Amino acid sequence: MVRVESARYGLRGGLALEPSRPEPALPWEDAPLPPLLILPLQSQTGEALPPQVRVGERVLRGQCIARLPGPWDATLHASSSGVVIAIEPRPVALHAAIRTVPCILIRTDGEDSAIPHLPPCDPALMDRAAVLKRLAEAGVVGLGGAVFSTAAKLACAAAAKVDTLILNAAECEPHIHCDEALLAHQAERIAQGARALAAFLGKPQVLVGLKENFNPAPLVAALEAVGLDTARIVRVPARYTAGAEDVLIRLLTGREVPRGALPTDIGCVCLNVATVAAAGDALLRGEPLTSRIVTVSGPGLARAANLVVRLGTPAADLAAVCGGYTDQASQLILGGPMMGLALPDDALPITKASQALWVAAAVQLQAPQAIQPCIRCGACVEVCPVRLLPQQLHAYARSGDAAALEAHALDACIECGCCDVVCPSQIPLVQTFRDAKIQLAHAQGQDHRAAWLKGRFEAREARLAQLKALRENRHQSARDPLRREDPRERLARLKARRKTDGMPPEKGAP
Amino acid sequence: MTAFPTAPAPHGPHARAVGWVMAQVLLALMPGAVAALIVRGPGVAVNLALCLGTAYLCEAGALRLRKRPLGPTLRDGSVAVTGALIALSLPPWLPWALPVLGTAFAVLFAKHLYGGLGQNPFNPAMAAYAFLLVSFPVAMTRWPATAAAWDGALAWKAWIGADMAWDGLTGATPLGHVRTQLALTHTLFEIAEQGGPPGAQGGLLLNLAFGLGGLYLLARGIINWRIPLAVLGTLALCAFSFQVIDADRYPSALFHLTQGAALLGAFFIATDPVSASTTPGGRLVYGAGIGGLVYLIRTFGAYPDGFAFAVLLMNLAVPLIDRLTIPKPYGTPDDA
Repeated sequence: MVRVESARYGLRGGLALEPSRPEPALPWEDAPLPPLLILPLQSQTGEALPPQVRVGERVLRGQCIARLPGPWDATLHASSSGVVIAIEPRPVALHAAIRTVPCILIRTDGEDSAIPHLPPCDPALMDRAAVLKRLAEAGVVGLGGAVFSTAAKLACAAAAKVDTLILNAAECEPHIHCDEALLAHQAERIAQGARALAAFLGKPQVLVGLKENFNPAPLVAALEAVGLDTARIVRVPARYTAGAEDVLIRLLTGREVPRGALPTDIGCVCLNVATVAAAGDALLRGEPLTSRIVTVSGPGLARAANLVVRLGTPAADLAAVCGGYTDQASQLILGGPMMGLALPDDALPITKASQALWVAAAVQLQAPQAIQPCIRCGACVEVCPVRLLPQQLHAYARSGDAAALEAHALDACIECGCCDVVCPSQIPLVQTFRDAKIQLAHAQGQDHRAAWLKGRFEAREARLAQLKALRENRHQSARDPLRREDPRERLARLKARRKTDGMPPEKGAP
Repeated sequence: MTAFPTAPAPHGPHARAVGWVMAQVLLALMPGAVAALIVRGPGVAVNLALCLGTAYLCEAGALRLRKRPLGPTLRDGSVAVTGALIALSLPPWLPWALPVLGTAFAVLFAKHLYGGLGQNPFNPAMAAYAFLLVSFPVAMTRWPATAAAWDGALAWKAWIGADMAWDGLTGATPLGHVRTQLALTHTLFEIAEQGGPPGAQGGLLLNLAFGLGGLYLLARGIINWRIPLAVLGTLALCAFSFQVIDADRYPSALFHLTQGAALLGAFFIATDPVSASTTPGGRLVYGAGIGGLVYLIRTFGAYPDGFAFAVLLMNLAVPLIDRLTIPKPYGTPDDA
């Protein structure tokens, strides 16, 4: 019997962001094949992926089109069949910033012909090296948003002999329902993946952190069907940041990941349910990762749906599947409202990190004069899930006090945005902390890390400049936020953005 | 392709603005202000008008001198809270120059000299109260008896500063009365036999009204429970302990909690976020310090009530308290 229980350990801070009325479950559909696929040639660690195909070459679904050899190959697969029409720089949402990186452009042929599947690689029968190699070859990465290499994570877990495998089904940002949909429709894929990974890790205890308003029945049945009877489903509060890796580990086990360490150091490995399902596909069916579930919704769209989307599909195609934009559409957000990225246009493609596409109704333009002095009210302290003192960090960041910033553990900040949202003085705290992290990394001589952080900073500067321009043009364009962009403007913007540095995203992003 | 404006995350609207917070505090002061009008007479309204007017004038003047935009700061309402708290702490029909002087001191010296909103280490209202109490001790401790407070001619004389207008017409506050009687070696039992301290019912009404406003602030999440609970808890604990030792000489916890500035202080003054401690643990320490000091000053000090001095002394200790009560961030070992 798979047990369903409530969390024994409490959740600190965070925000109740759930809508007051339960939303009806969204329809689950396969998105039609888009005419064009845009696949970025950059690995999760920011390294360029050498392409394995030439312009003009025909590719099949599941074919490896770029590979960076390493301890665990970083790989990229064609997500449908077609012809490579170009390899050129395109803006893509990568590592919490929009960067212009070389991309492979595939014009699909509509046949969706696939290469033959690889033979199964069941961890119960194969050795560890073969399993890790398969996961890397199949391009399996964390689908909860962090896109960290699953092979690397599991290698670390196996070396550390972890005793706990945690499946993250806490999905805590509002407007994201992709994991909920997966649990409702394809729980057996999750269960098969979980059984395979449990076998790989030497049968650890399996814990599922399930959001309390999700129905556990399909997952219970699926886990029992694959014989994972000892798994426990722990219901976690429907509260924002419950799904952040470190926070979820504490909720489920009471253990805290030490600062600067990894979950494997305390015997845990935590994987998103979608990642587990993708790992199961790769190991048991030999299928590489070529699609993901994306929640496409918002008042700016005619309807909402959970779509099974081919990686590389431009956002515009998904908006079209959902009936196109309404008059209210004024902002396009990739991800959730708390940590998502506002897209400058809908030509940007879906990547492995894209959980949701939200078309917001009102642009929350924040005029600079709205920022007021900190009154030390401490609202930020109450909501911080990692027990920081944001108002003190803000004061030290403004005065450039590096020692105090370190003493107050700026590095522990997960940039969840809770403090930002509750601040009565409208101080952009998260931005301040991002900037302070850059300064601190420079001061500590970690120039590589600083460069990566700076990439995000520059992307932000560009966004702010755009925002300013928008505000100035508001009297002309206020009635038509969906104005078409002049091709010359676009060219100038692309040139300004031609920057391709990168570093891994920080751990713990929910 | 459709272009969209971009903005950094988070994308939700901000919850509440400083102006909204201050408006809620002013709203929560309303029951107390009405009770004060009933108990202390129309002089309270005069003080409110003088203090609020002076507060806004001084704020505008200071912003002008500091070359800051007037609009946002005047609209945020923080200076109105300072003015209202000063007015509600002062005796009615105080010579008009004193509320004006006190409020000007609060806004110009206690607030703007330190850098304005968010920068002041001391609670401006309590700095003003202490300044007036030390500079004008006679006027500041002269509380007109209830009947006299409604006598227009007398009130006018007092208000324009004609000396000795109140001769023979002032009554002690309940805290002051008990203090004087105890000093005359009367026991609490004897005081109670003579009908108890005069004005005790008025004091009770005032405190209940401020308590009501405080509960509203708690319910709306404007203030956190830690500081008021620590202030009142410590005050009650001290009073109870001494009462157990000698019930003839030390009034009960209930008396201490319902007289003087107890609930106004606990809910509206000690909770001023700018000058209070900001860490969760620090707020308990800060509140407990205020509660303990209030009891010490009331019982063994030179004044019948001691909220202003207790708050100012604990304001001094805030940097140290904040340093010693930094919470351990997630993932910090217990022995670190």
